[in-house]
Amino acid sequence: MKNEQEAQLRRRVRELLNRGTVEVLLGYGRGLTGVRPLFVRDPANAEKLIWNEHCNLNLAGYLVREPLKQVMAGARIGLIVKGCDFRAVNVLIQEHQVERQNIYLIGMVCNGIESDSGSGILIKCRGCNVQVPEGTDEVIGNPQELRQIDGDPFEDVRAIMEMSLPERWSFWTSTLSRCIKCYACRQACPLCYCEECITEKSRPQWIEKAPTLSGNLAYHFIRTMHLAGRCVACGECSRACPVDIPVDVLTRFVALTIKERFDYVAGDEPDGKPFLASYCEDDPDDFIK
Amino acid sequence: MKQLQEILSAIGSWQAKGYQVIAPVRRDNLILLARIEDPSLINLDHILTVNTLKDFMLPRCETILRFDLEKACVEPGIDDSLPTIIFGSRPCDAAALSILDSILIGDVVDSRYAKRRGQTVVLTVACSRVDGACFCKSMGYGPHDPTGSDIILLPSQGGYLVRLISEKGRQFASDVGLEPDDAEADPEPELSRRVSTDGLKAWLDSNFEDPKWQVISENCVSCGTCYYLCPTCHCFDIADEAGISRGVRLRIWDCCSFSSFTKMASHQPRVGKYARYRQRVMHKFKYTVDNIGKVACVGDGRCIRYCPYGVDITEILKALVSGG
Ligand code: SF4
Ligand code: SF4
Ligand code: SF4
Repeated sequence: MKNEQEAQLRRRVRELLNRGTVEVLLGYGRGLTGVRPLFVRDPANAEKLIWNEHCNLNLAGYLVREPLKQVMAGARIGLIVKGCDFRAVNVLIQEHQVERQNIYLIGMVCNGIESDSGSGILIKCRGCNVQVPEGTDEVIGNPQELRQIDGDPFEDVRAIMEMSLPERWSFWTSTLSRCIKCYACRQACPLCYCEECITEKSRPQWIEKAPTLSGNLAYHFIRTMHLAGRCVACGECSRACPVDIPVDVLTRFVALTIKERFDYVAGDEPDGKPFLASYCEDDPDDFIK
Repeated sequence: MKQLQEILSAIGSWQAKGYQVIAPVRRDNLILLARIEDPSLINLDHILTVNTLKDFMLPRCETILRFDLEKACVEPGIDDSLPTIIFGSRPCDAAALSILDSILIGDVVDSRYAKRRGQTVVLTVACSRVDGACFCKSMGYGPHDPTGSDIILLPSQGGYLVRLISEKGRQFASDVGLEPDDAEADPEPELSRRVSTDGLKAWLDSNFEDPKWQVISENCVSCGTCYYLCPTCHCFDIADEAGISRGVRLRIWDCCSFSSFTKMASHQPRVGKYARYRQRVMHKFKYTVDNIGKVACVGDGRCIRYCPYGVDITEILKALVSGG
């Protein structure tokens, strides 16, 4: 089947670069191990962009990393986003890391992303309500061709929460003891953008730096809490982990709790307030004893 | 020729002689090298394990010393090295040990590493299959290459031929009654990935500053995946984990892509991601060549397989030396 959406994307990117609407655009390209980020500056290279059901990467993190971070002030940067990736961009805007006028967002109509392991549509896609990314600068794709993706996007989180406490403890201790502290999860996360991460500080050293079980627990608990109300449940962190640790289950557990208790989804509204900076008179307070 | 089963069934007797055995096993969806108790759990149906032999010779965390201010005493960390058999790692991983040996048991001797190496016998199982990321041939090794192994098992008609490579290997084989064979092995599997290193060193020698460094490192997010999974990367950090009066001094892995690298000495001199990625390439393909006469890459391809953003070292090496 002809990939009309991809063809249209390439056409549009060529135009945007030719007209100077954007100076550089970040989208999806092909690498040996699958889809990878592709920076396009030369309009001729727009041909190398791809779009298909394997474009899982959330590219928003590149906005706050080199080299885009440096060009951000002067140039207009083009970024390809799915509706869910757009949430991460919104959090970055809310947190004043990115200026909306410095980026040009191309939103892709998305029919769900397939897992690379062949196990079907990703859990994160279930129940998606942003298959057409409203609020981007333009949308590419035909909303008429969408199918609805049913199911519970937090099924994996709930499965772990259903374990008994000792089972859960043993699951996490055995899984996290394999963490090598390569920090791929942090570097991949669009919202882990601190210049200096507390886990690496040595003067003073706040937490155990070593990749021992206790050092790993400390790192992951701190990271989880630091992403409270900010995690957009994109799964980049787990995808990046070379030793298959489902780290996003931790951050998504907090996201789920916040959703259930406060009806808040991080990045849902472009000009919404950050979760921890907002307050409502009727916020539940039954946990204050 | 021996059947795999025959060799596996001998492993219990090696353990009985006091050797710990490190071998590939399945953990969830991963095949990892780990210390095994039960030889029946050994898994050889893999291309390459995620982790490398470095995990056991230069572990990701080890105690160098313990201190106690109240007692005013400092003690060396416990020596936990044991006579060890590495069984079922691949030729590229053994080759990587020969590189680490040249570096860590060179002019300066890393005593903890040297102690472990001295007690370790590497029994490699050569590859009958490769994948698209393997490029060991291009680095001067190969799917049946014996560099760094003490004993190598070569695939032959569904079984394995035992080849004794080093003195240590011969010694071990005679200790445990492992007989060598000299029949002909199956041909080596073909590798699809190739990269030439012709002209690379000369280019690196004269192009420390070049706009290409920015381009090739664009996708990198400065994590430690490719460093920590690399069988030859060996930088480390020293960290004190201490309470009010007692504590331990640890050696833990570190890597030059982190912006915090070498801050303990004074600062990270490489501002900019491209400068840090350049250090990775320079260290492997220039500085190590200058120092020990070999590149610090064995072509195992882990960095390519596991980089979350598709950074590909062979593509980069080609781009660096190509004109334009
Ligand atoms: S914590 Fe993981 S799932 Fe959440 S935003 Fe960061 S990368 Fe995405
Ligand atoms: S990516 Fe995986 S191994 Fe690396 S620090 Fe994160 S959890 Fe640990
Ligand atoms: S694994 Fe990839 S992203 Fe991480 S440091 Fe290496 S090249 Fe960069």
